[in-house]
Amino acid sequence: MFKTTAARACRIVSNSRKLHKTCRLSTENQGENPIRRTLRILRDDIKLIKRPANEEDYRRMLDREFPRFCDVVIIGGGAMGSSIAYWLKEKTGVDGIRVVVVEEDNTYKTCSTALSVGGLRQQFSLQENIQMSLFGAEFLRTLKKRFGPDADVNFHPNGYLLLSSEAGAQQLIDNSKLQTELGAVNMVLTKNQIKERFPWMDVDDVAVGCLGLEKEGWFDPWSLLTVLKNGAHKKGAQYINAKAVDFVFQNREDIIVEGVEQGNYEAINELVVEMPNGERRTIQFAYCIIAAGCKSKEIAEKARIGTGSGMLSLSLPVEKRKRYVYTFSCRENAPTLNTPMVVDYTHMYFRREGLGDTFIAGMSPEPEDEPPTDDLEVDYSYFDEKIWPVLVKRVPAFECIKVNGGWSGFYEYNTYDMNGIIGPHPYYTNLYLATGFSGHGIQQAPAVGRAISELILDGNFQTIDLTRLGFDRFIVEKPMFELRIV
Amino acid sequence: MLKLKNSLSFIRLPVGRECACKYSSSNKLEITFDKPPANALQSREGPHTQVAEEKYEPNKVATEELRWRTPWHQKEGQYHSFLRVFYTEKNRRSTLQRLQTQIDLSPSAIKKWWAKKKEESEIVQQAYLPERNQILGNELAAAHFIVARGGAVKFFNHDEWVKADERGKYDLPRFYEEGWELQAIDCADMPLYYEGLVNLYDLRNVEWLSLNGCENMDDWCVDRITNQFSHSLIYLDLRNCPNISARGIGCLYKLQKLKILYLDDFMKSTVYEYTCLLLEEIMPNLEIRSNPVTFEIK
Repeated sequence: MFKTTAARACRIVSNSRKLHKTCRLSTENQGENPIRRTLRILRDDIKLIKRPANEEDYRRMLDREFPRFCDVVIIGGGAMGSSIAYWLKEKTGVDGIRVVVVEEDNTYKTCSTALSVGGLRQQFSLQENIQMSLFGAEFLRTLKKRFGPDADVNFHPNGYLLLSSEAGAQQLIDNSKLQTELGAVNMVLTKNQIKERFPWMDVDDVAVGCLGLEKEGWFDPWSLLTVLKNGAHKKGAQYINAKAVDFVFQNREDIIVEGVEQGNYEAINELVVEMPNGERRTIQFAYCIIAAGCKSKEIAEKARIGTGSGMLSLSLPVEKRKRYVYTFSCRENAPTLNTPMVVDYTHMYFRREGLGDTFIAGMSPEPEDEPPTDDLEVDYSYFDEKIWPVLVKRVPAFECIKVNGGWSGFYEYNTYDMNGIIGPHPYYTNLYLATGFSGHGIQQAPAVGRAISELILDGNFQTIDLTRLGFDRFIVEKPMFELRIV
Repeated sequence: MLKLKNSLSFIRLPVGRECACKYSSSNKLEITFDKPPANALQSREGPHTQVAEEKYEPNKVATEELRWRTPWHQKEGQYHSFLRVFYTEKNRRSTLQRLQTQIDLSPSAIKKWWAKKKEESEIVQQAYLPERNQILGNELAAAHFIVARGGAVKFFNHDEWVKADERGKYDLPRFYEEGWELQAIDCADMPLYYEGLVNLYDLRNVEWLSLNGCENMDDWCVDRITNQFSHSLIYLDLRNCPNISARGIGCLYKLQKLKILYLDDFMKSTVYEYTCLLLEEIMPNLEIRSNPVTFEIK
């Protein structure tokens, strides 16, 4: 009896993690006297009893300390993570649940959100995707009501034009019917109608096209990220600059999960993060959400998803894929205002950027052409070899263009069915996923944030039912792929 | 029982008690549901291509097919404790939120709240009413919608504009009648919202539209208008709409017959001016005017 107590005491003392450590996140007062620090924290706590009149002061006070405990920790502070944080706080209020967003890079240098092209379209074939994009459009439209008059994402209502060859024509028409049923507004155009509307386009090899007439176009994803992040922060979500590195497991014999042998359930309720100075700390959470984009698989593996046994042997099929975006200018006879975002059946897309004859274009490469994903270098030969021939065929005026530059970004590519994975993990009772959007996630971020917040706060989906996009589809083998237009 | 969440049930029981769910002694996942997943745990290289050949349609997969576990409380043999009386599928999130939110009783906050309420109710008022369109037909329904809110409309083959008088009375058929086709809609200074524009769908031949002074009009409204009137509109007045930016003006090319466009100040900014010039370039018939126009409504 005494032995076990002593052993436990030894373990607690030896395990430094168990000792509560606080640290200041700001750089001021580094190397503070521990007694002073204790007193200051106590003083702050007393001050918090009488809430500061100024909301700003109150938030600053809460933000100052490293969060040892929280209700929901969100890994990844991009558009998805910020949107989830915003909705969780929006539905509970400033004094509601404590939300912490762990973001590795405060500058968002390699964040896929900031590097995306920012298309807004409802032209999908999967019902959920259409509904989520419709809500995305609605969210962007009412952005000012939610975030104040300064929130603006520079939406260009220029439409989306999907072109299809003979083989994909029927699919395109079917998709358009479904989209119209769900509330999108678009129109199937014949070859001649496309020619009439967009005389600068060469459509000899195109059978039909589908033109989005309302709520389609493009916007500035960086603005959306800023708006969501500031909105979440204003509502009381705490952003910390740290890298999620590990989970702490705990054997919980008292929890029974169907599909897991009784007594073998290992729960996670602590996340280990690495601060920029290399120090490791833990955050205890009630719920954890993985929204880390292309790094989701790495983090999921830390939670033994894909490395364990039973349900945990199914890995998260999310891969990092690099996609190039090129900007080029065309001096002569360039299409001007009447340029929607055009997506060719070869999966090449281009759109106007600004008014000064500048365009951006990109393409989904064939599986054998997948570029390496070690860095964000741009391969310009890919444009010359693959994109430009298609581009010239589509728009003869692009015969003489000059490539100005380009950038690349990572897709969180879902290798299973190229769609988002939204919802709880079947093994863990408190781990949720919002990842794998394969390049069309930014317009769905508001809807996904709302869906995850509904799952956590209301217990099930209240608005758009996204059950079919959950992790369970890998178990029952029901891929939810988009029917591609060829 | 602590909590029931989605299809996943987790309960706190004394250790050692038998659970109703079956489990195998091996490490392999063995789940008790009707159809065991054939290759659930095998590697999955490109299943989408393979399945696509069999005419598998993702949209036809029912939500129930995704459920491979029975929620604990729906299982046979699980007794219902009396505590279940207090269990509801709905939770009280919004009540909790209301309790946790501080009530701000300062005059400015009350004023803001009242303005918000008024706006919300106005938006509800402007919603699409299917009954109205069924009784009146699209053209007359749109006319009623506009005139009742202080706007004016003109029909083909009718020389006079229809506008409500000081007491809100106006003369329009109250049931569907042949021969009423809208020619012009004047929404000057109306508190028209994006949600209200839905009443203007499917009008056959509106040539003239004025949104002068509709302060709520923004780029999204322009987007909708360009779709609704793309086939017929000749005259468009967008003066005194401060929320419409160059991006909204830039999509007016969708109005195929547009000839006259009134704007506040052509030279508002460089981008605005350049957009207008580009618009005139791709629409040779278009004339953009920014001088004031006077017209009389009888």
